[in-house]
Amino acid sequence: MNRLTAFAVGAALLVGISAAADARTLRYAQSSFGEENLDPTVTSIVAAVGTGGPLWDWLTELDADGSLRPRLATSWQQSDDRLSWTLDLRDDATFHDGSPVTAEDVRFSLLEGFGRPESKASRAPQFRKAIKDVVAVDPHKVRIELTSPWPTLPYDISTQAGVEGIVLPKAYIERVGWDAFAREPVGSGPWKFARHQMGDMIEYEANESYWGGAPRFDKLRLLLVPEESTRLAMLSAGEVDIADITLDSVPVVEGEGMQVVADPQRSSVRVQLYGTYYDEALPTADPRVRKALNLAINRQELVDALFGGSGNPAAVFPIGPLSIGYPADLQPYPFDPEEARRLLDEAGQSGFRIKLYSMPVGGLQIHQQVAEAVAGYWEAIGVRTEVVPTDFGAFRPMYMAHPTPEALRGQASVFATTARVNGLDDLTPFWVNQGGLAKMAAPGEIDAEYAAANQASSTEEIASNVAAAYRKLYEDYRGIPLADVTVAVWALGPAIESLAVAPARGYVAPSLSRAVPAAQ
Amino acid sequence: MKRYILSRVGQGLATLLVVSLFVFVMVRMTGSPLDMLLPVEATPEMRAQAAEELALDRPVVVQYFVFLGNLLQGDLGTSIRTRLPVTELLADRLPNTLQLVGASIVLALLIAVPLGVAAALGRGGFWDGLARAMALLGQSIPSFWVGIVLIAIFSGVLGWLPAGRQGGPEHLVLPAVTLGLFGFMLSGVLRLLRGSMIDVLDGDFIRFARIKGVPERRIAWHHALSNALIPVITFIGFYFGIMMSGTVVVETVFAWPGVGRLAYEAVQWRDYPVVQGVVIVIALITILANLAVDLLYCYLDPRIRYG
Repeated sequence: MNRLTAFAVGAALLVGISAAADARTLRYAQSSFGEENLDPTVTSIVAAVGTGGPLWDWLTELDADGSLRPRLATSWQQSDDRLSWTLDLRDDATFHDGSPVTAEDVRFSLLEGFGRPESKASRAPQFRKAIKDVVAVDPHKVRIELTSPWPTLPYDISTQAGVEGIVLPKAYIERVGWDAFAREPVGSGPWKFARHQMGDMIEYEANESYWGGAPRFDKLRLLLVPEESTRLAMLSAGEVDIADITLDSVPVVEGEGMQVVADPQRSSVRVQLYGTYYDEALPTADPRVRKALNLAINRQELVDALFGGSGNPAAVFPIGPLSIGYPADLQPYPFDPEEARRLLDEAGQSGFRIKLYSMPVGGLQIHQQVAEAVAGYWEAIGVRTEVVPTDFGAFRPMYMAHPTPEALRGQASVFATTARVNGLDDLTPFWVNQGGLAKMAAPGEIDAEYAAANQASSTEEIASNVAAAYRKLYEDYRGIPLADVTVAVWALGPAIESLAVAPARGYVAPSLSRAVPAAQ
Repeated sequence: MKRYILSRVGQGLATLLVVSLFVFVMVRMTGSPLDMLLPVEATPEMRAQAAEELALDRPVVVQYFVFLGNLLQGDLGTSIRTRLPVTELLADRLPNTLQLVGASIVLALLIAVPLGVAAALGRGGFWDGLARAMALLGQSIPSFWVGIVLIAIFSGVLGWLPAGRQGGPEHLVLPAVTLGLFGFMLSGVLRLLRGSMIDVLDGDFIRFARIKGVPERRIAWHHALSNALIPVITFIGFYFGIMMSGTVVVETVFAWPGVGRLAYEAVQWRDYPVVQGVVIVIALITILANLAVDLLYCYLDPRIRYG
């Protein structure tokens, strides 16, 4: 064997060894790392769950069929006066530094973590207001004392609800401080933090002592690849094993024989109508006009053409089929452009003008196509529609202002969000007129149902009141529901045999411990 | 010479001051970072708390002078998005961008210099046609499109090169080709060098060298090229800063963790301190590159002296 041959064989062996060593690494190409800060109390859900998700363990979890399951909390009981919940915790769960997960950690997480003033968690104000105290009854039993009954609390601390159910390591954070915790996070989830290269990569190692069993890959590497075509090429070339994709790419990926998995909780895609109740002169103040705008749209065609058939026409929004209070009996408005034209004539509003804002929100990459399609339907019944592309940052000041600015009154926007498990949570920011954000319901329109749901003492009572509120909004054509669709999808390379995705607000990261490697 | 350098340094500092004010104002016109940091459901109290934490509740003039005071001490502030010092983020990313830009320039010069000389020597011939075609293509095809096509061919179809991210030398090939050959550097150098060589080759000293019997190859590569390179070096110095800021697209397409993508992410998140830091550092690099080019003139052309 001459020197060249020896070198070649040596190099091949080295490559082989390194490939074998790398074979147990699950590589996930992500479109965004969000804030790239791994402290879940101060970041958006993109960073807290989308990239930090593998580190954490939640108190409860939601299964793919929407049923609530134990996780760190093995059981939960509401007190007779309904003003507290007692949670029993696992006694075999430990943080990655070896310390046990205890009731003190739950107390710390709820009060001093997600409850602290700096917290950016979306429901931090709600948690601060509703939780009076958290008492560690014993190391594995915790009592959450409330200011008013909160029947859905176990759902609200689940993987699907957000970040507030994550249990943080009290002793570690008190020892190192929040900034150091963000750089070297310690959780109790199935993966342990290994290293973070800013703007490039986050690496986790399997937590061999995880109570639910160690992941079947030794390492998990999240790679930041913003451009979708690059992610697809990396997947095709075997450089990554899972990649964020958009619905547009699903046929391409499936055409290459790769699997596509989706978040079971669908996204609600709709057109929101703003300030329809301020001025009777506004065309959209007339329910006949709002009905016409709804009847003009062929929802099934929209689902088939823009979402590849992976969804259903929606009757209400933003509540989803897995949510508490979903009014399953309501049917999507029919497609009837003739009746829509007649209604506009009757209302004396033929040919009125409307602005339709379009922006990427809620993971809806094809917002512009949706807006153009809706504009097409409306133009067909004589509504002169101006599609206004924008971004949420620019739109938000107008959207959040109270009262709704004149410029937005009577106008519309394409919007999408992943429905929350608790239907009441979505009613608050989008519909409620007092204290809400989008304030789309007329003053007083659903106040009684909203108040009743808030004061309800059982999940069933919440469900019936939430459903009643949605029924009113449906009958009044307050908004334009389009579809409940699968927006969060991922492509799997040949190294993964299967991956069961649990609902987690449109992020796959918390489910990656369930990835089953393909047989070698 | 000393006076000249001092005057250029003074001009550079004045430029940086103007740039700092310009970027400070412009980035604030894009909207508030609170809109990106806080959830849709954020209450007015959460917004007030976050604004206070980030010192965004102070008057803008006060914010500018605080920023300027910190800048003079080399402190570019803390990233609103990542909560890390901007200098730390830049120190992480700048070497990656310099590596990419450096490789792109070397690649562009390796092709442009011989081709530009050959085109000037054989006007209207094959090499001239090839040079003009390459310059036209380099100038007219958008680099993001080229990047995606190169990834599709060399990574997706052929599997010869990685699609993206930083790694071994093979990871540098596609982004450097995209930035160097399709980012105006190649076409700029080609056009300039061809024109400059044609001018120089018509000069008296070249005619004199020919009369003296100096071989044509030596005339072209030694006498003519060293003179023709002067405007090219000016161009490279000037274009270096543009390439640094032009890496945004290429770094995004190739998932290259450099300053360009840091800027892209910072603009998306309205991360004021990072946008300001990136712009100021790129402005500083551009100023230094131009100063270096001016000083290089003295070495390349002994006729040039600064009084």
